[in-house]
Amino acid sequence: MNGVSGQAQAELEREHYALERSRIDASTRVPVLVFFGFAVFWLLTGTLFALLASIKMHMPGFLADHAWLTFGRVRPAHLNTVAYGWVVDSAFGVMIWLMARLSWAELRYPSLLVAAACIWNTGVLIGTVAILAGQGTSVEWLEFPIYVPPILVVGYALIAVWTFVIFRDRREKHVYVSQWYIIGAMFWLPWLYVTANLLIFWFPVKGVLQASVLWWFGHNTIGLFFSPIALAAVYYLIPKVIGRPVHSYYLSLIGFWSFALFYNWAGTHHLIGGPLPAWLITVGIVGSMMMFIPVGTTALNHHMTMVGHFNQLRYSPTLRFVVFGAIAYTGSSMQGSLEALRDVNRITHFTHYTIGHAHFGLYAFFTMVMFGSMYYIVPRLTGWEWYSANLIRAHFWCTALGIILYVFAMCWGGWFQGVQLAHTQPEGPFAFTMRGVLRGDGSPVPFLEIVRQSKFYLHLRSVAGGIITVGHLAFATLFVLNLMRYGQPRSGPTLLAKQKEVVAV
Amino acid sequence: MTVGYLLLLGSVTIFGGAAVLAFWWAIRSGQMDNFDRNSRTIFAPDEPIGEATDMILAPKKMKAEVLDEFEQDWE
Repeated sequence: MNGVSGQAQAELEREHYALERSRIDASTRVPVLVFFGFAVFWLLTGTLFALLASIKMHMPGFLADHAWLTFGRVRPAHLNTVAYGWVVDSAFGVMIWLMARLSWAELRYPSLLVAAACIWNTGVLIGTVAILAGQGTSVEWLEFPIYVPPILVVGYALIAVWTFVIFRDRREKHVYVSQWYIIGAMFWLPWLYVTANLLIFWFPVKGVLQASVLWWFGHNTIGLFFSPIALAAVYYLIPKVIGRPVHSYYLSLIGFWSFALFYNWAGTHHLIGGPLPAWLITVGIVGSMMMFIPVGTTALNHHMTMVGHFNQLRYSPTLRFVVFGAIAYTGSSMQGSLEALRDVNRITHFTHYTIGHAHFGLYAFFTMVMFGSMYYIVPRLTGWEWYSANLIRAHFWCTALGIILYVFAMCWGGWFQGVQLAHTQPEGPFAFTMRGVLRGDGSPVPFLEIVRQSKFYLHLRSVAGGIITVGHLAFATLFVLNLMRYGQPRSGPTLLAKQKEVVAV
Repeated sequence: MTVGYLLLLGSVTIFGGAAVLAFWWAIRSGQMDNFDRNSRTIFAPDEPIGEATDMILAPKKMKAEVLDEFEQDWE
């Protein structure tokens, strides 16, 4: 074959693959955009509740005259709209798109998934209204009243089955590491959610056993559903955006299987100091420590993949968000493992530190990765580029700086709060090391004084929340404008043209 | 309580059993055979290795330059 026809053939082959890829993307268009639309709606709703709850922490009288807006309702409303609305909806969208792409298979009957999305989100809406109306169960992470979970389970079952159907249709025979994570997540979540609901509400087990079931569920929902989906996106998007295979595929599989092996054990570290058998808690601590293996391998792998390509962080919004998220994954996981140690936990438990950690994981890691994924996915589905590069920059810097300030304020303030609370005797264990935090003569700080001091950090949190809100508004604007086809049509929607012709925004 | 024990027991067998089965299947079906090739399955002729796929924050001119540079690095 001579050079010219060889080149022509390469072009043809390229076009063939690009067409195929755009067909696969297109088959997921409607359900994925529906999931993302719901996700953005819940993101804004959840942010509003978050701001309200945050302000109430330092201004207890703020909007407290109306029962629906009291802290005890707004705070669980924040947790549940964010967790089951924003987080899960965005995860479903990313998961479906990734599964279709990685399986190299088109999604069949997308309307089924649209129906599933409506069922799921109806459940979340009913649950949220019920919480605001005072019907919350007051069981953390499961505040939706008892009639909501069955709705969610039906919606979820449809989504899970349909993801497996895409997987079964796969034409790419190799199961990429992202697919392992997705399949794991699809399998783990229903078992966790149904078991927890059955054992806590339908056939309640006795006493502290409920607490251990709850935290087995609560911790694993984060670890065995949210984290794997975000890691699946990271393992796909970093190599894909920079155009370089993952540094060590072997390490990525070690990461997955050790993750699958250890995470499930870690939940009981939420109950350190509680009236549970010590061995049960120790198991949780050991599980948390073992998490250094998957976290370390994953961090190393992503870093080594990125080495030499960090300059691309300037040009790709996807990469910015995803790399930020990947770094936060390492940070928050290691922080979490250390928090599980009894000596550390003794200080941090029941303080603002825990809230800082929770947002480090669920926001700085998960949410940032989802933003990055959506920046990559949405233009490939709508065929329109993002309207404004400046809005993207505003979104990134507001959310990134906002969450850094948030985590810093909560962890810093929480740690001091914890030290002061733990120091109950004049010569307590921390009198020497924490002299600056305690009173000059080493005597315990009165409780009200501790509360007063923590107000500074609570104010900081509200400021951070405000900055993050600005970022969310920028993102929601971009998302809506994209759906309404403002801006430039994508020259390579799903990449029919060469990359060099990508239109500047 | 019986339900509790059944669920816990089921949890252990289904969680653990599924993981063992999945791992066994992965080895049997050759998923672990060629790591180098497997890591490349996300690339195809339309989006080959060495080509960035998301550059929308770069000014137009720079985009071409960066990509050229990038491609040279790979050659």
